[in-house]
Amino acid sequence: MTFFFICPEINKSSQAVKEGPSAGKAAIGGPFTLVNHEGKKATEKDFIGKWTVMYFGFTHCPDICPDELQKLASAVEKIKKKAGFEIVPVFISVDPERDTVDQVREYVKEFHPKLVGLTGTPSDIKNVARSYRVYYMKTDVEDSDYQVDHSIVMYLMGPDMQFVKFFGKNHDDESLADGIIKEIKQYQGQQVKKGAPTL
Amino acid sequence: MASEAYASRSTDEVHTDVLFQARQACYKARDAFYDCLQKQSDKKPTELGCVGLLYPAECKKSRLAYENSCRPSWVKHFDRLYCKEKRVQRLLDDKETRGGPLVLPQKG
Repeated sequence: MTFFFICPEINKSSQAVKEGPSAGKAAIGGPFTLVNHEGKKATEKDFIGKWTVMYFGFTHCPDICPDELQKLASAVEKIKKKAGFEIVPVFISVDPERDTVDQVREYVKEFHPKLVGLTGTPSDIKNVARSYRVYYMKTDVEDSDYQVDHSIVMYLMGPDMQFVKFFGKNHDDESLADGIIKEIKQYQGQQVKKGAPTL
Repeated sequence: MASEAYASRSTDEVHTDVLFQARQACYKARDAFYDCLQKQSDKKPTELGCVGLLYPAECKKSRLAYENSCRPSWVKHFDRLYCKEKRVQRLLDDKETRGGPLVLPQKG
């Protein structure tokens, strides 16, 4: 008798787990106030309504940042071709002292016309790096030149600027593109179920 | 407020030696130098680069071209990577000379 009443509850709760927000999603991201490569103020609100991939690096990086940004640019093109999704790639500097607006503008334009470059005051950069759990530290300081050691991660942010997934250095452009397409389709599937607008 | 002030401070010169063309020139010169090292691997390394990298005199020309094409911190960075790679390779290749039980000097 009691078993009959419990069963429907069990079915409903397992459904709720599938449709609801994933439990245990790290609190990554948050509000920021930076300056874009055109010298204009940029906040997280400017990216609402779009899918964004953020990469933290610095323009004086010898090899890793150019490779990662090249990879990101290529993935953006592949995503457009394969699935028709428009992704906004973003480069955020962890070297605010050297990465002026002019420096960032000259740097990003070489990778992709849609690549947004963000920089700011050291304290604004510190804040955004903290929100995204990005490690960065000056190293090899010598005669005014230095390197910046930093975590190498791409952050996929959804249309509400909510953190969706991160991709490490081990992904190539194809796997990065496929991974992003998969997340967007999954999100859109969930939105359809909720009866909410898809983006 | 602070961000506006920051935007206006970008009157400094752009460091073009980190942009695309300069990077490509640096990589080319770097690879030419390392190729030289490979080709001349039988020669005795006598010259000293930074981070303790030794190279034979035959590669001095390509070394200078490399140092002129890349920022000093980049030269250090690439040399360090190169040395690390070589060390790992040596560990993997060196079966006869380093392998086996440790031989200590005997008493008596």
